[in-house]
Amino acid sequence: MTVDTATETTASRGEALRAWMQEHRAKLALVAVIALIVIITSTRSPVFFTWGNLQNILVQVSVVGILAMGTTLLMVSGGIDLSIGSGVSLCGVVMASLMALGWPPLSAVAVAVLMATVIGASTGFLAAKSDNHPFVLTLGVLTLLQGFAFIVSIGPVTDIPASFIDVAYLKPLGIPVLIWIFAAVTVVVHLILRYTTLGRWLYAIGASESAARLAGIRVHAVKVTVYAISGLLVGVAAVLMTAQLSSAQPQMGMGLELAAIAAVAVGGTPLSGGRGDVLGTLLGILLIGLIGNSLNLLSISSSWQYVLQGGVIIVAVLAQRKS
Amino acid sequence: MSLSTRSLRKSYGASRALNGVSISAVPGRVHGLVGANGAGKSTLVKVLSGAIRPDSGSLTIGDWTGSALTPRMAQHLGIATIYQDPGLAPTLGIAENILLGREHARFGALLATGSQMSDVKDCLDHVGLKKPLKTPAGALSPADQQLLEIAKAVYRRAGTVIMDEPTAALGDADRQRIFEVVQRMRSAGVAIIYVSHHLQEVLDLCDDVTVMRGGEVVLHELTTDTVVDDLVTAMIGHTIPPRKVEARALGDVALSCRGVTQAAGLQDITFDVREGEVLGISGLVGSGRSRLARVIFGIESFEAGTMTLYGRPYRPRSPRQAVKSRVGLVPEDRKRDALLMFLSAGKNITLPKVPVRHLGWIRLRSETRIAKKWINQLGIHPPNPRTRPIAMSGGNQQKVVIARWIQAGSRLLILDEPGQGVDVGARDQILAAIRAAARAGTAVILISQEVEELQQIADRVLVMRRGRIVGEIGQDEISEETVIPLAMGSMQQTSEKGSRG
Repeated sequence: MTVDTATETTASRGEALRAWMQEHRAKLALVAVIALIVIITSTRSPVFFTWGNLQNILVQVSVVGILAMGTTLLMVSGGIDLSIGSGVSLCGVVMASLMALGWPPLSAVAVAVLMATVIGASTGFLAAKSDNHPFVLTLGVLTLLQGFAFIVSIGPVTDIPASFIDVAYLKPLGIPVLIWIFAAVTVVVHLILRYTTLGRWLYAIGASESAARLAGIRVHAVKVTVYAISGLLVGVAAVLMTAQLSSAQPQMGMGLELAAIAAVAVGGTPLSGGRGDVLGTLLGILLIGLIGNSLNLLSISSSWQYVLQGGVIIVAVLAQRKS
Repeated sequence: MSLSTRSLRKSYGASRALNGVSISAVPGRVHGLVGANGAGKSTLVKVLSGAIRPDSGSLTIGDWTGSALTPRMAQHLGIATIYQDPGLAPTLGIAENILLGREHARFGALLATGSQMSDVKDCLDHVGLKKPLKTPAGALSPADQQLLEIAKAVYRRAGTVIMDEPTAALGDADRQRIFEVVQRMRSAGVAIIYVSHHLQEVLDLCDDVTVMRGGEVVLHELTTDTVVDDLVTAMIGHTIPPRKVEARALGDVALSCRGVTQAAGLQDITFDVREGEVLGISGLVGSGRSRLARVIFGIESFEAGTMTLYGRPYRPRSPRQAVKSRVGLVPEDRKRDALLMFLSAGKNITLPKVPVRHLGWIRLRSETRIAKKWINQLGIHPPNPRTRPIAMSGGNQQKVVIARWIQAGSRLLILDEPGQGVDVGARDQILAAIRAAARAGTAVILISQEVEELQQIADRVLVMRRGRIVGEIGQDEISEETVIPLAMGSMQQTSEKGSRG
């Protein structure tokens, strides 16, 4: 605990603990649910509690996890970007098509990431100019990008060099490269939120945009920046997903934005912004990955997986109500 | 309808919000309720409106007696509560707001019957709200919104009306309108509980007054037997010695405005404020006093005239530019425009000027140290930089905002109604903080409708009316008799009350 409370009585220490639990109740609830799933599944499936299976889970969630980290930054600032899923589709097909045209993979990757960043920054610019909640605006961007993805390619692009695909299966130090990248993104986003002025400004804007502006914060510039960062991560996700699938197709990213937003919200970052952190999002992502994985291992049909996933999200959100 | 409580108790954890409170309200009488922030007034109001359940004690309303109310029961028993921030539906019209929940529906279609509409009109006449029935509530002035809330209570034939700080955000002329309605309700036999920080107002308006402190009733008197000093003493438990503004040498001119004029708004504003000076600005709502603050802080622009800050041309196009020129604004609506309610007090204080290494990397340790320094210096309670403003009293919240700008090194500090919604003791501390900033060389512009506040702290006062500065009053002449007539625009020296209906 802090220096302040250390000198105080045990009574106030109990108070502080209660306050801490109140503060982190979303996370505590998540940890409890995750523990429950782990216990139930590991008693029924010998494979579940193995290093290989944990890697499976992490690889499966890494793409949506990377998007969820960008969404965490957005939602802390009171923003949202529904277009990230179709952004993945568009950047994926553009990159794959360039490679099919004979571009070197590295240049195609650079184009995809740059394009995603510019799209993100433009969305941020529009969101900053608009008086309305970015929900509808980015819904428009979603549809727009989806359209462009279809224009680039109506079907799957599979003519991708093996040298590119192989990179996705590298295992530095025995850990898949996707997990490394997901971990790196998580750490960087955590550092931004906790230790930089940009992170502080995101919380401030989410808490009260008008107060942030009157404190001299460049609200517009911060918004463009955070949407651009989320866009950059969209590019990264598109590259990884294409490599993972060995192909790109114009609907590959469909629904990813909803999974990412669900993970962030389940992790305790409210849509209204001003609060939330990376740890919560990480737990939210793990929960969603764990549910899918354990139901697979328990051979429960994928139709029921949807039902259970939806149910868990609903319960988790209700559990966050203020007493 | 008469209302009384017996030995109400309510605790939150270890703190007792109500500790055996017995009060009563009688038809045809106005009962004033005053107390410092945290004295238990709000808790009592919430118990009476059914929003919270007391731990023990009982309530009697008319011939009903019980241990707790629900909001529905309170409504049914004819209790209406009118809060400082009216709970109106901003996009619905005046009539729709009054009828909300009372509409006559036929086959799902909303029909306002002729008799209903004439009732609505009667209620609006009763409170003196003369606006088209379809005007959206959100488009009404704060005073009209209060009146609409009261009209709602009248429409529901409320026998007991509880008013929680109805005039806190209003100017003198608007207050007068509220007073008149309260008096009219009193003559109509309504029992009224009137909560306010304005002690003189309570004495003028109410028949009885109850002072609460620490969750208990510490004084209950007829207002005819009471003066303001008695109330203050009861509220804080000791007397506040009268303060005089000390004489001191002023420094260079900090801000100089020459003929600042907007297309609609400020007209030919010319004044100087010096380092170390506290320049008071008074005026009614709409006189341009807050506009002036917004112009100096770069929120609004101006068409003609010039401003200079420490000898350099100054024309901020955004609050950011103002902050960069080391100008700070403590805005009127601190909850909306200044505080980050769920971020720690420390982060609130350092917001405009976070201590960083490079690349925006925050030095968290120095940040905490800086926050603690200002928390101690301004006596912010609780003295913990991790406490969030949401858990603080209004006075301490205000001190956090002031600390923010002193921390940012503001050379010019503008405060717009810093004493609003704050109790006497906290207001004194806020004034002390302002005084300390001025002593350290900051130029201060203090906008206030509270003449008493200006009397205590301002070196001189500019009075504004309709976008213009209509007069300047030297330190020794600041009084209601000099300020109010200028602000109201009346030629002769009228007293505060009755000068305008």
